[in-house]
Amino acid sequence: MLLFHESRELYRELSPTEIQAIIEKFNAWRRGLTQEDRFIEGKKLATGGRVLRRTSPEIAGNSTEPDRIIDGPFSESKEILGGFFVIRADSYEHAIRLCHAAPAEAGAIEVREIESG
Amino acid sequence: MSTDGLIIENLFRDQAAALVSTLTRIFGSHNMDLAEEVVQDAMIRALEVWPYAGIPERPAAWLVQTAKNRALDVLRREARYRTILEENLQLLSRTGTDPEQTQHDSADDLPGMLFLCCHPGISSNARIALALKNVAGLSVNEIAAGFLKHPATIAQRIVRAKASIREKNIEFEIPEDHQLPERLSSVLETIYLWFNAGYAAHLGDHLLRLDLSAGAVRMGRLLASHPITGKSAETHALTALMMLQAARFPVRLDGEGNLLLLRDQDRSRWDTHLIHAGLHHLGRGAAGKNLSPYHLEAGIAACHATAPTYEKTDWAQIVELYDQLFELNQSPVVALNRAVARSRLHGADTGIAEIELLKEQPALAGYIQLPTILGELHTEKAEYEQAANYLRAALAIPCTTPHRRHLERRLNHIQHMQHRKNLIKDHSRV
Repeated sequence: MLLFHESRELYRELSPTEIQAIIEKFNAWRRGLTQEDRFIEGKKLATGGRVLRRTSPEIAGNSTEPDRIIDGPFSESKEILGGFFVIRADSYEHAIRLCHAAPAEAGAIEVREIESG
Repeated sequence: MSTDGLIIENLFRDQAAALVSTLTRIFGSHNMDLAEEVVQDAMIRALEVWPYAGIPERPAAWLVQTAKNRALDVLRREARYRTILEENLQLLSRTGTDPEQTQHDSADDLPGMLFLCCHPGISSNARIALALKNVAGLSVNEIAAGFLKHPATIAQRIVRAKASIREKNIEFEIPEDHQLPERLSSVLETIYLWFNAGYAAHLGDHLLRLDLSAGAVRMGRLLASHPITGKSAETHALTALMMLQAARFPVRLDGEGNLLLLRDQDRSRWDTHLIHAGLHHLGRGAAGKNLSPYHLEAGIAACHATAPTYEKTDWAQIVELYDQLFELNQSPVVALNRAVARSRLHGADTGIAEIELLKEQPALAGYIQLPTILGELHTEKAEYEQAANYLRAALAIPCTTPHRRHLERRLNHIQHMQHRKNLIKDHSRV
């Protein structure tokens, strides 16, 4: 699984031409993965969301503080998780090689193996 | 959604300009910032969605719809835009609903936006920056690269231009009354600067600059076909001038990126389509009774563009046009160009004599063409020592890499010729 950590601040500075170039590069990369039968699925994560932080039992015992629920994981972070691809790769090294054609502006790509039970 | 859809070249840039123009018309000129923000949001939205969902079948319609939805959101949320909302909600949801039409429809507001950006109430160097941002669809960084300025300087000019628009209540409109000549003149001047930023190429990124010029030509074409601005002979003359010069762009550099002079260019590779279009506009420009500098410069460009070879160029006609141009605009640069044309007609000596008189003009101090031309004229007369000195003086002035390489090659050639000449002299003494 490839998790894309996008930088919103960077996007603000881009020109329309640059934005189009990134999309085209992304598209070409994805097409390549599909043609090599490496691409399984890709989804954008909706903007927004909630984060629930359960109060630990020790603290809960001494206080009345309820569980904390905050809006969105990204109001305070510069990078947000924008979406993910699931691809077929032989190893981490191979997965990373497959990511070389991704546009750099896509942000940091977290590569995680999905364990097959 | 198709996964393998392709995006038309420059779609985002053209749509950004068209949409900012349309939204500025609807929101009012004092809300230009809001229009820009809404459009940038739509572009970013595409960047966030398309990599996963694929490129939509009608990308242009998608961008238009997204920007309009976003605009409606903003209008609904902000109380201060309530009046705009009431007046324009209908208008906004009606325009651009036909996906086949969106691109054409939205480009209709570009001339209005250009008139707004080029209003004489805005300082002249801020006009061009604002026009490039909102009519050409360039970012501050791209404009800064085109004009060799710091991005902060360009950003500041744009902020100042917008402040002038608000303070002076400059409206989004193309005036049809007595104001038109002055307003149009400022618009044409800005387009000419825009074109020259690409053409002159003093320094910097070559490709970006050609792109700048191409945008100016497109804008000229748009104004030439506009019901109001198309009536002006000057609009056609400027469009002709830009087309005739742009027709030579593909061959201004050789395969290795070296500058090629007019003399050495492969004329079969000039863009004949652009030359024909340029001559057509020159003909339409001739209909007016005003003879503007654009007419004369276009006439000169037409002489070059229609000459079968460098030697067969109609230099007498060119000299005459330069004489008329000099009467309208007594600039030393025009005088310098006229001296070159005269040297083709009457020989290098005439050119050198005329340019010697111009050397002390303050406007030509640091003007790289002056020593470059003198170097060439002295080379023609086999006066290699003077020629080499002038080319060295030219090399001391900052210029583009292609231009510098050209000067270095010429200097090498001249030194070689000088060496041969000295050998022959020594030999004949023996």
